[in-house]
Amino acid sequence: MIDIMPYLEILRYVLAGALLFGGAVFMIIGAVGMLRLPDFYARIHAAGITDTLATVMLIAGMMLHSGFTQTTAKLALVAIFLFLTSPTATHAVANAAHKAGLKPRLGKVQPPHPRDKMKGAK
Amino acid sequence: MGLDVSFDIFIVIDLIIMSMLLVVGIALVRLNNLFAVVMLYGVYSLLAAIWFVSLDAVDVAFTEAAVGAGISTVLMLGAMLLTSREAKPTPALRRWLSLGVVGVTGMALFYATFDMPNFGDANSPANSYVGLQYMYDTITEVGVPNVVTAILASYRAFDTFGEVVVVLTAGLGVMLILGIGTTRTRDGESPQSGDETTQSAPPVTTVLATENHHIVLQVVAKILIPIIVLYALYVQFHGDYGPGGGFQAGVIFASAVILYSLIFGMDETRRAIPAKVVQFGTALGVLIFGGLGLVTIAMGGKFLDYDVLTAADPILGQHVGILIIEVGVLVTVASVMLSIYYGFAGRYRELKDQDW
Amino acid sequence: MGLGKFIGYLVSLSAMLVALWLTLSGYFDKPLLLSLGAVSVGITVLLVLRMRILDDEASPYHRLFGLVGFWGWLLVEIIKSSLIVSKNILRPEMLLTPRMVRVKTLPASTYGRVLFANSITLTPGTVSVDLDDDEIIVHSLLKEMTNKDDFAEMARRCARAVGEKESIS
Repeated sequence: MIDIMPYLEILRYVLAGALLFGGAVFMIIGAVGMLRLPDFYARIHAAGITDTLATVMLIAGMMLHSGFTQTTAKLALVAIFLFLTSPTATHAVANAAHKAGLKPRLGKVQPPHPRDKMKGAK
Repeated sequence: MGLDVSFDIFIVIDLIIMSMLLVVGIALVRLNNLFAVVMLYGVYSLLAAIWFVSLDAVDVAFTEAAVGAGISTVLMLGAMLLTSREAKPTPALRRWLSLGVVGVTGMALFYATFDMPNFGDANSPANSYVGLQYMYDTITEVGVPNVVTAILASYRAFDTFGEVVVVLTAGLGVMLILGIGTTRTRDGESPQSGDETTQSAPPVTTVLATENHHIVLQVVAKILIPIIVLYALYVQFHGDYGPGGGFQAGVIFASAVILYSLIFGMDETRRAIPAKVVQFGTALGVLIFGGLGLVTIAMGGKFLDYDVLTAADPILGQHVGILIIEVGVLVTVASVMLSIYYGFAGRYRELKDQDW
Repeated sequence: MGLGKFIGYLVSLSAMLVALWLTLSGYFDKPLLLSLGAVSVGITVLLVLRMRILDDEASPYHRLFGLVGFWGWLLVEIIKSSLIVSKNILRPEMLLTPRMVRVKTLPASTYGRVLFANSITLTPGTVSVDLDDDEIIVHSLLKEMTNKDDFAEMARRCARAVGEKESIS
């Protein structure tokens, strides 16, 4: 009979690391979107990725890493808090822009290709 | 000595955070839009807080995040609403002059760093003599796991008393200049100060009914406020065991009330927590703190010497003493933050959407 | 608001606060900390009563089980739309089709509507810009994210999560 507990333990850390790495990658994607997207309303969506998926992955990774402890319970509280507050803050910002009369760009929008942007900068 | 070449990831993190601080600092100086400046101040404080965490100074980081990034942003926004949104451009001569002063000061400070002990040096003054003694004796003398709290609230309680008095003085200054807005009643009678306020604000219930696109904010605030208040009290009472204590708790408590005020209006806030109570609280906290000192003298000890509080068990006396003075700190800090906020927010009428 | 309901909200809020204190504190064996916890919960409830914010929306904790199921579903939606938006951000030839749409299918209660609006914001690619009496204005990054049926599905699930029978349309 093979004792599988050590393997599960290794798997736990591998999963935690994968989640943390994935979260970091989505954070960077959100930052890239922040820079590339054309107007205020579009940039909110990029921030949405860092606010939701990236944060969920990071917190889940940390929870797996700390195992069945009080830290995990506190991390769960942080996750619930963020799920409550981050969309509310985003809504408040978007609502303020809307009420102040900022018009979004609608229809078809094609931001410049990175290659063209480089040429323009030279 | 000599340069330590071993790779330390924390040095890299510190360097990244410090360069971000530098970039934000330069942006702060160059911007004229005060709204952006206030927001960047918040970012700066948050970065500083992260840096403090990386230096293992969690108590300081907590205070920085709560005070610098949290409440002072709101207070500065309140101050900005009373003045203007744009800073006046500075004359060129004055700009060069200030740059010169800053440059000379910076170089002097940089020169001073050569005399500083290395980071984490075991023989530095901070890590030897009295600091070392505190680390050794805290468990036997004070009996709390968090040495920071033991130093702040017991060994150096007199210094902390001074800090609380400073906070009270700051609050008094703002109250003397701006008032606390007690003159305005719920019916919308205008206060004497300020010409804008002659246009009375409608009762808060009608404001909410006409502007119901704030529904999301209202509902989430209703859920959050009890959680924030309980969190503040948790921070208050667990200062012995982890980062936290009266200063942070006071600020978090005040921010819960300010959140309520931002969403439900100033009149409603004054009804829930009258300005008189806030005014009274600013002094009450200092009275609790100083009063305990007098009690310890009366019981035969020195000023703020908690050992005498309970005859049999000095450690229990320390616990009780720290608990009481932390409550004093909480009451004063929360009240002063609120009185400053009341002072600013009471000066203008309720803002509507069309004002923006 | 009836007295019975009021007491119900009071009890569920207090129970949540007690649970929150115990989770944060983690000290179950120190009588001093436990009694301080009781005092803290008391102070918090007192302040909530003074602020007059104790109602259906301030104390939604009896619905926790419905919400947990809803969050599970929402998480899958978040992952799906995150991937779509991320793919668009990373594509050199990014083509966006932003639009503002009015969503008319809403849950009946205020609480359900707020949950709906926040769920729309939580899914990357769509942000609720305004919540009025009868509609939510949504800004969306891509045309294919404004499918009417998808919004209706989310509204239905939100309404069910907060214990409503049917969503109004």
